[in-house]
Amino acid sequence: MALPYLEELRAIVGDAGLVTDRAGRLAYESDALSLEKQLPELVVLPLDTAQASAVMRVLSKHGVPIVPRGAGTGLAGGATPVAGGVSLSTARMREILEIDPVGRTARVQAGVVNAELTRRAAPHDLFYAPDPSSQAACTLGGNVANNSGGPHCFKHGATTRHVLGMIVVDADGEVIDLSHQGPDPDGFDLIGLIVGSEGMFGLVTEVTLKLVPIPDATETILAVFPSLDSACDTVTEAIARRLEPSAIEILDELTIDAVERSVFAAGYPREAKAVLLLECEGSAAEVEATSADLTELCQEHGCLEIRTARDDADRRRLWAGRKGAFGAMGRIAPDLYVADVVAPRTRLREIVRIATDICHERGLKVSNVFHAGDGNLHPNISYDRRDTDEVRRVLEAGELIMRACIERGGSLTGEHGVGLEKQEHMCHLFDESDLDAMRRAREALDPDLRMNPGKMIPIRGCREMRTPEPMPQGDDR
Amino acid sequence: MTVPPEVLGDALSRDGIETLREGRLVIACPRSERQIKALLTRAGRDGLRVVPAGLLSKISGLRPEVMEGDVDLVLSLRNLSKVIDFVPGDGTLTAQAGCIWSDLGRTVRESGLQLPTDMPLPSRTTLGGALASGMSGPDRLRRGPLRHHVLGAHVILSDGTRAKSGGRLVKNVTGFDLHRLYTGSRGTLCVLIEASLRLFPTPEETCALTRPCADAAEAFQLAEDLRRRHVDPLSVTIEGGARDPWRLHVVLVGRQVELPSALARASEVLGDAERIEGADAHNLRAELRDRVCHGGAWAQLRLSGPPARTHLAHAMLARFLGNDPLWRVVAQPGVASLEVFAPTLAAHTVADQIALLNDLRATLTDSGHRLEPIALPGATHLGLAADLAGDPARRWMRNLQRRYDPLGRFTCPSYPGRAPTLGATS
Ligand SMILES: Cc1cc2nc3c(=O)[nH]c(=O)nc-3n(C[C@H](O)[C@H](O)[C@H](O)COP(=O)(O)OP(=O)(O)OC[C@H]3O[C@@H](n4cnc5c(N)ncnc54)[C@H](O)[C@@H]3O)c2cc1C
Repeated sequence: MALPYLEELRAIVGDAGLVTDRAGRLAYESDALSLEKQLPELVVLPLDTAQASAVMRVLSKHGVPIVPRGAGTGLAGGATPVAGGVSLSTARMREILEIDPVGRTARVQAGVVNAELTRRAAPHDLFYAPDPSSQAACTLGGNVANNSGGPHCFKHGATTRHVLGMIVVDADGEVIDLSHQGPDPDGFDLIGLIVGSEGMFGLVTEVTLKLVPIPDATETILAVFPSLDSACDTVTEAIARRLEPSAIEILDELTIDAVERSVFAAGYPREAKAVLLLECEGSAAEVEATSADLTELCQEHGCLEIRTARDDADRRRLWAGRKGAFGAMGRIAPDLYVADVVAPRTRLREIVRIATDICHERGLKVSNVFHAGDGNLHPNISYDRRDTDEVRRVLEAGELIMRACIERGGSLTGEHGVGLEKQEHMCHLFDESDLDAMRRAREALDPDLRMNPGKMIPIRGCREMRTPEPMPQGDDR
Repeated sequence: MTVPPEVLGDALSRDGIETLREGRLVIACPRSERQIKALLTRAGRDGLRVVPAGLLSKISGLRPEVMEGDVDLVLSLRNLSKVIDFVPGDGTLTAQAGCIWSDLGRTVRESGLQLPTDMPLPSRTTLGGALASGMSGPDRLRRGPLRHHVLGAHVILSDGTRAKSGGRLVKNVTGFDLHRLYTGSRGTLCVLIEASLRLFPTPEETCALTRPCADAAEAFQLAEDLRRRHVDPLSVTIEGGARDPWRLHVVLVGRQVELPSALARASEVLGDAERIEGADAHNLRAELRDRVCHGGAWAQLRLSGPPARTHLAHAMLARFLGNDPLWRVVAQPGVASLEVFAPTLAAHTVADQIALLNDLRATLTDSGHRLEPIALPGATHLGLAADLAGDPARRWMRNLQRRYDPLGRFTCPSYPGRAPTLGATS
């Protein structure tokens, strides 16, 4: 491989910090959205901010595009390499630099795995609240870039509410130190802008995160429903009654079946059409009162059975089923398209039904497991990528689901990000001037557009995209 | 370019735009998006420096005496005051920027909901002003700052284009969170015309514990003990000063069933504290919310830094301001913020203020703290800000400012650490 910058990079990160051979690079050709693939020219794995900065200066000199990469669990193609570009991985930046139990903060390198932070904070009676289902693998840097959520974000909020500071290296290798932020930003809220920016402003190398005290009491409830509709209605009503559990998740029949047939089997009743997984946390009295309210509400909505986790082990088992649900879907078909859309919480039932109908009309198998309390739906379509017609139907269904959500006041993505997958759909939600405002931020912070180029913001203008392309000659559609 | 205010005021009135005068400041109060665009077009044509505002109650940069000479036109959004969408079942509210905070509070209260923060001086604050100033109330200790609860915004950029970001949903990651960038940007990037907020359920009960402390050190120690015991109050406030005794106030909210245990835990730490309940507790909560403005005046300085070290910042501050017989502090230790009232400082010359604050800042920086001038003259803000001009984060901010407002139409004398060389590329 004759890359003009290779030896300069080797001098910075050494052989251990480079993946040059084709077989090694193949592991980086996509993230968890395996429909999009591109082999990176090179993978560079710096150890810390200083190395990242030096690497990025070299890449800047050579005008090379950079794609930041955490664990590659992203589902929107955000970490998919770009042609002629380098993947900059945080896989070797795995140190928890400091845990301050009094200040309740943690300072970590971007490559630290989400669940590891909670494990290390536990002896201080603290935990890190955002808990994506992928938390055993995904990195905190990836969480920051995607503003990731998780079941407990219903109470605690998504990643953006937990980031207190960070260090970012821009495309030219300049280190932007935002780690000493007070309660309010010093000047513009750059942190608020960077969280969720999908690696398009720079490489986040360090993050200071808020930790949350482990609650005195926790109760996990599994409510069994005779229909998905009644489970959705229960959630809508829980929000309207202003009940405040810490998590409200729905799993439907097909998901339950897949989970129960997998290693994640949690004891969900197989005859259920849907279950609600609810968690309450706080003081013992608060938990007891909120659980009683939720139980009553579930019963009012025709719930067939309520189970409460007996102990910690039981509770962990119930959550393992939820968090392992995507993995368990492998039992339904070899491939899974995880749609990620948002609905206003007053319209959950309606939008879940529409999504189901869209899939069934196309002969597709759809299952639902989602963060119902936040209106964040995941209609998951199981398919086989070798069947090109099925792939076409899956993508069509995905687009129609997105449009249906938007028409009803919803949004394109609740937590997985836009990446490559939804880039072209941005015009359904935003118009050209909205996107232009986003481009301004991008051009201000990365004028050469070398950070994760070709992601999120559509390359073609919205007007151009809305104009139907002429039918190709001979096309018989 | 400075246009004589009377000429500008007359011209705007002729265009049908309601215009007010405060000293030499012209305050235009457009009634529509079209009028805002017309104003920005005029500003571009005549080289006017514009600052978007609400009722001019909030940040120091927008106080008339600070703005004079630095601003040609104040663009007040007070006439854009419609609630656009309130969905109680979804816990969201979308309103125009000129809505008064306390009016919005009343709108949502009937549905058992409340706004995301106890905004100081809510009847003198517009939604747009609250967002642009980036302020939050003491309840941020439990709920987080206002900026965490802004779901989306519509703005008008300096060239007159309207742009939106985010939406009206409690969870949404579509596109950059530009509304977060605009929140706290003090009108230097765009005119905020509409925003959506997440609402919170009104707590069933509110009560407070309040007690005198021998000195600031005791008050800070108690606040830290509360934190160590994982008491989860809505707010913790410490106040006191050269002439005022030191007091600690802890406000607790929650369900009826839950409060007794929270109170018991807090009381164990605080010992002999006075317990305040019912309407009195609500009143105290409102008073603490407004403490940032003392006797009608804003604090001269704000200090912030790591929560665990607020007491250190206070100790250093005391050494610096010990000679000021009127100095006074309102601190929210859990969120590491200290509002400092030092009226004698305000009486110094600008040069002396800059010298003193630079010294103080150098000391504070060592303990990870930051000092922000608030109610001090624009020249003091600029004198201090210039020091930070080389910081790469400032460069990012200036680049953002240049991309959003290439002609430099929007201005806020103190913000965001504007370098004297604004306009030059860095
Ligand atoms: C089984 C499964 C379950 C999932 N469950 C959830 C869930 O519950 N909630 C949820 O929100 N997501 C979920 N996801 C999606 C995914 O795990 C998250 O988006 C996660 O945050 C990605 O982290 P990562 O380290 O894998 O990042 P990657 O996939 O490697 O990258 C994601 C994006 O972040 C950028 N990036 C990564 N690191 C950095 C950095 N240091 N600096 C700047 N940019 C960076 C990349 O360029 C890319 O755009 C799930 C995925 C899977 C496969």
